[in-house]
Amino acid sequence: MLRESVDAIPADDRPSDDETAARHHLLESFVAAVVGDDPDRADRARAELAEAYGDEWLVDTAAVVANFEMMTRLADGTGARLYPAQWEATAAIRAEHGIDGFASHRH
Amino acid sequence: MTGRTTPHRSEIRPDLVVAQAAAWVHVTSPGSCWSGVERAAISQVALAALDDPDPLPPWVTPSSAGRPLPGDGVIPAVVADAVYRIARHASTLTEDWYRGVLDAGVDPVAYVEIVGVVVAVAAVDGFFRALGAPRPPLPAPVDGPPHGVHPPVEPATLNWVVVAAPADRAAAVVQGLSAVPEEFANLERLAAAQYIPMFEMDDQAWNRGTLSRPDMELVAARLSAARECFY
Repeated sequence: MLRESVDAIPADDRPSDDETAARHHLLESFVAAVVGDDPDRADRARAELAEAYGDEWLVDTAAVVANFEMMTRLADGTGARLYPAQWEATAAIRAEHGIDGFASHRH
Repeated sequence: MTGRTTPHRSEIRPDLVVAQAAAWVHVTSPGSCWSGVERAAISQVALAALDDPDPLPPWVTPSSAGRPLPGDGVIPAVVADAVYRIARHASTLTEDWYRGVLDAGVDPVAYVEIVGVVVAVAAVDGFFRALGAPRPPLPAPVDGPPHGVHPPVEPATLNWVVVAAPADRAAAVVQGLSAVPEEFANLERLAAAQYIPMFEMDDQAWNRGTLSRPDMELVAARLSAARECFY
């Protein structure tokens, strides 16, 4: 989904690589902080995100986090498996990112 | 500490507030297999697991460790143990574990309903946890027996759990709760407010004017990796 959504943006409409990298760094730091166990780090990450983009961004990012707190438990709680075609198509990226080492690895 | 305050509840999008409030009522109201009081107990156990400052390891059940849980006396220990494990250690679940829960007497459709309740609780909890704001308390249970209605179900190839027949016509995360359609409807309402409405899913450029679709997918991917969710 990440790759498809990036590809869907016309080249002329894409933000600069620097701008995208900075925003993605903030978003990744936010996720890492709020799933961690350091409340001060989480508070800093919230403040940095809100100061850079505003409270609406903070709310909407927290909402996406919430959605995948839901979806990950749905997938693992119901024993969700990939389609065989998805299994084959994702082999390289799973290996590259160590995803086959996840405890929930199943097929 | 920065001293910055989190957004006030009044600054949270109304559609998000409505979906979460509906989810809180949903998880404490009668369902297909569990009464309102039992679903409230399942929700309370899920919250206790998520809040646990000293979580048990995945292979130790709260009942075997003598750990008291809010649902004690309302739901069977095997159910409370399963709820704790799904809420706190979902990535460690195995098909053998799932079969063990059924062998201990949990009905396959009742198990799907348990998952539906836990995922909704995890969503609302996850939002307020990420925002750094107080989580609203669960409402008082709507008492009443389970209605006992669910569609015909059958085993699936794409999931451990039983699904509404015919199986495997939809992706695993779409059919996973199909044995209990009300749980899927609640999940769909939450997902529409938290992430993307189902009917917009194929529009890779869809957004709310804040995060772009690639931004949302990045957050989704990082969270899923943090939770070690293979799917």
